[in-house]
Parts: sequence; C-alpha cells; structure tokens
Amino acid sequence: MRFNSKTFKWISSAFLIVLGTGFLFPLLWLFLTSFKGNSEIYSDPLGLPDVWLFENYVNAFTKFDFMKYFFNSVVYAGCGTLLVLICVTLFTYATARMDFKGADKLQKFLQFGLVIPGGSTLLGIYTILLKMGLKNTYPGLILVYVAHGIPIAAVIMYGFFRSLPFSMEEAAALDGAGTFTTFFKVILPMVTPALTTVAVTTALTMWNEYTLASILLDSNKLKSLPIGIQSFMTSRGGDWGGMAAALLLACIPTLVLYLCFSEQLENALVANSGMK
Amino acid sequence: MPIMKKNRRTVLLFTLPCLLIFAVFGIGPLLPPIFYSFFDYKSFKLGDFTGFANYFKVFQDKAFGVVLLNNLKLLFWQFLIGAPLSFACAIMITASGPKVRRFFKTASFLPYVLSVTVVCTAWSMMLQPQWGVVQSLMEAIGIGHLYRPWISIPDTSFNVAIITVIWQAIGYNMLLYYAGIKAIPDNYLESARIDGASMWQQVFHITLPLLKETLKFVSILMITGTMAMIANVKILTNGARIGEKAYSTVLYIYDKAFSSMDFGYGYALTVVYAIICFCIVLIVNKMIGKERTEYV
Repeated sequence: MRFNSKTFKWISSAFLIVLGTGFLFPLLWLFLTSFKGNSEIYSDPLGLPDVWLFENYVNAFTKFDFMKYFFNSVVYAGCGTLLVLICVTLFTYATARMDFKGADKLQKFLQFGLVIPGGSTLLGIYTILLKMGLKNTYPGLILVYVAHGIPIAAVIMYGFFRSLPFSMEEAAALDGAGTFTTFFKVILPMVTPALTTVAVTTALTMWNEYTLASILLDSNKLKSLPIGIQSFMTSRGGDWGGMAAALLLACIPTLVLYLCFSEQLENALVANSGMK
Repeated sequence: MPIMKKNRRTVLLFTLPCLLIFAVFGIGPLLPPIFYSFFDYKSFKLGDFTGFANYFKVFQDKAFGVVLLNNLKLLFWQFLIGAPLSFACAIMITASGPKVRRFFKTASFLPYVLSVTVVCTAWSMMLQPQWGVVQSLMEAIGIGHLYRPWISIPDTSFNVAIITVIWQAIGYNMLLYYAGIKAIPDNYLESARIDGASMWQQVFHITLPLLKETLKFVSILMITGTMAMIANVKILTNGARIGEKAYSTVLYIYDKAFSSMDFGYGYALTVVYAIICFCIVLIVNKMIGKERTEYV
C-alpha cells in the first residue's frame, strides 16, 4: 500500500518520531530520576544527575524485598508458561489434526475464553479458590494464570498445526510410528516457532499480571513483582530515587524479552486477529 | 482434512488436561455469579433464596451508575481518540521509511510491554506536585498555574487512568491495524490511484471498508479490556478511597463485595456488568457492519 506523496512521507515521519519519543519519555525520565537523590529530584527534575547514585539500585535490593518478589514472579510466569505450553500443544494437536466428533466444538469452547469480559470472573475466581483451599498458594495462582493463558495460546497453536501438511502423519504411519512417536518426533520439532511465540506472549502476560495476583495473594512471601512494587509506594513513598530504580529493575526482564523476541510478540498479535 | 481416526482414549489423553484446567479455572468462575446472585449469600454462607432481590438493589445503586459511566467515558475516549490515532499511525507507518517504521513500532509497543504497575506508578510520580516532571514542564512553558494534583481530586482522578490506558493501548492497536492494512493487496490502491483518487479517498473508500474485520476485532479487544479496567485506578490512587467518581466498574464491584462481604450482591453486580459488556460488543459490531473480507 503506497501513498505516493513525498510531503506526506515527510510529515508522517516527523510526526511519528515526535510521538515515538513522547512514548519513550516516561522511561527516560525514570532512568534519570533513578540516579538522583531526593533533593536533586526536587530541584532539577529534567536535568542529568550531578552525581550518578548507584546506591539507589543497591537499596532496591536491600531495602525493598526485590529478590523475593522477583523469584515469585519467576515461579508464577515460569510454571504457568510451561503448563500452558504442554496442555495447549497436546490439546490443539488433537483438535487440529485428529479426526473425531466434536473437535471443532472443543476448539471453539476454548476460544470462547477470549471474549469473556475481564472483570466478570474476579469474584468467582476468589470464591472457587477459597473453597478449594487454593487461595494464597503458588498452585492456586498458577492454575488461574494457566486458564487465562489457554485461549490465546490455543488460537496460535491451532492455526499453526492446521498449516502443516497432513501427509506428515501419513508418512509416519507408513513407517510404523504410533500416535505418540509421530507427535514427539515428527510434528513437535516442526512447530517450534509457534511454541516460541506462545511462550513469549504467555510469559510476558503472566509476568506483568496485577489484578488476579492482588486479589488472591495475601501473604508477603508469595507476592509477585507487580504487587510488591506497589507496596514499595506505600511503605517507602518518600524515597523517590529508590522507587524509580526499583521500577526500572522490574522492567528489565520484560524489556529484555521484548527486545529479543519482538518478532514473536508481533506474530502473536497478528495470529490472534487472523483467526477471528 | 485430518485423516487419522483416533480412538477415544488417545483423544482424551491429549485433550483432558487442558480442558480440565480451563473448565474449572476459566469457565467455572462464571457459574457462582449466575447461581448465587439469586440467594442471600453473605460471608460465604448460603442463605435463603431471594429471587431478584439482589438485582433490584443493583438497579437502585446510584454509585454503580456513576462507575459505569466512568467506564463508558473511558470507552468513549478510546474510540474517539485512541483508536483513530492508532489507525492514523498505522497509515503513517506504511508511508514511512524502514528506519522510522522500526523506531516507532518499538517505541509505541513498549508501553504495552510494561507492567501496569510500572506504568501507573511512573505516571503518578510524573504527576506529583512540586517535583513531578509534568508540573515542571508546564511551568517551563508558562502554564504552570493550570496544574492540579489531578490524581487526588475525585472529579479528575479517573481521567488520569484514562490517559494511562490509552498510552498503553495505542501501540498495541496500531500494530493490529497495521497487520490488517498490510494484508490489503497493493493493486487495490494502485488502481484507485491511477483512477485519480486522492489519498483521503483511498483511505476512506478502500482501506477502511476492507478492514472491517480487523476493526471489529480491535473493538472487541478494546471493549473487553477497558470495561475490565481495575488495576490502573487501584495503582494510581494507591488505595486511597476518594469516592466512586474515581472508581472503575470492576473496582467498585470488588470493593462492594469485600467491604460488606455480601457476595450475593457482588455477584448480581457482576452479572449485570457482564450483560452490559456483551450488549456493548453487539452494538459496536452492528455499527461496524457485516462483511466477510476475502482477497481474490
């Protein structure tokens, strides 16, 4: 699609550059602030720090319980992503490539999860987990995260599985391979791009998740990073430099993931829209 | 067509884990609201059957109306400014060179990638009185007297939440639009251009109509996302209760249910909220219109 107007191209580029910088501005400001002491933050909010205070970052580890929250987030996002990968890959392999009645319906059932209004499950989740004794536990939150990650993962994997030629299974069967051998040795190696896409998207979402964690986690030792950071605000609101440092530290995993896997993340978006 | 017929046991083995987890923790939570809202259900003890009593209470709840309007306000601004801006950026990206494209894609998607906590905490810091960057910038260009501590004022607090939501959503929506635009074959617009169509005409008469499905999809995502907004308000106000005018619908429902432990009422609120969301999606879809797009 081309708009053959040089003027438009120049105006667009200029506009986009300005807007793009605007998007980055809060992060840049956080970065500068994280190296300043409180007095400098008050007096010179926009300038470069006079003294680059690395101790703000050190404080983030020692005075805030950063490592504990970080570790918890790793548990939630890590286990959650792994479970989603396993469950969804098995499931969509069946619905996409096995011939049985109701394959279609099962797949649609999972994809229905995408249109459920977000807030309508909050109270229900709380009640169910409470009654199952899973509130405020690692497995409880992980299972809820998995249930939320399943729909979008299913869409991505299903599309990918469908795109492989069915002759693969034919050939494998001719060679005498059973279902599981075919799955693990033939099909699975072919879907690694989709697996990466699902893994990155799911992990990112679970890492950043706030609402469910804030409802279901009470005890401090279970809190994930987003929740922990918020409690920094309340407990040490006065230390703004330290606060900025903690925020940036919390961003680093997501930023690394984003910069390394931006292509996969984009693919996840597009796959989602292609399916509807 | 899949040709391998599998026996039931194999199919079950493959599908059961996923199905179980999703059914119990994904769909399951929809059931308590539908059932218990018809009962007196306080502090998790099932009381008498009360019929529609909880629902009558919902319709008399003025505060619920206020928070619903808040969310609708958010939706309105998303559709008025957020979505068109994303769309305009998507068009501009197609006209720009690869370097600018790369830069803007990365920069605009970045807010989405950050955690809501980071985004809202950063914004609340920027908006702080005295040393916040926003106030400094305003003073530097001479409009410092217009500054207010917007977050703590009940009337304007929610507007800040709106800004944070849109800030995070623009890049995400833009990428979705861009994917849809890229999918349009070049010759459609080529022939229009040859026939003398101006750029505006190309966009409005060719691009937009062909994007109907993308538009619908983005709209559904926007609606379900913004109607469910709770984290932004919670983090921005940092737990301070400044009144319903600053609340989002879901935050209100959650708060109401837990403060009085009246989950029966909370469930009724949830059901009404879900129905409203669903209706909004239907209305917006109808407005965008029916069209299955297929490129030959």
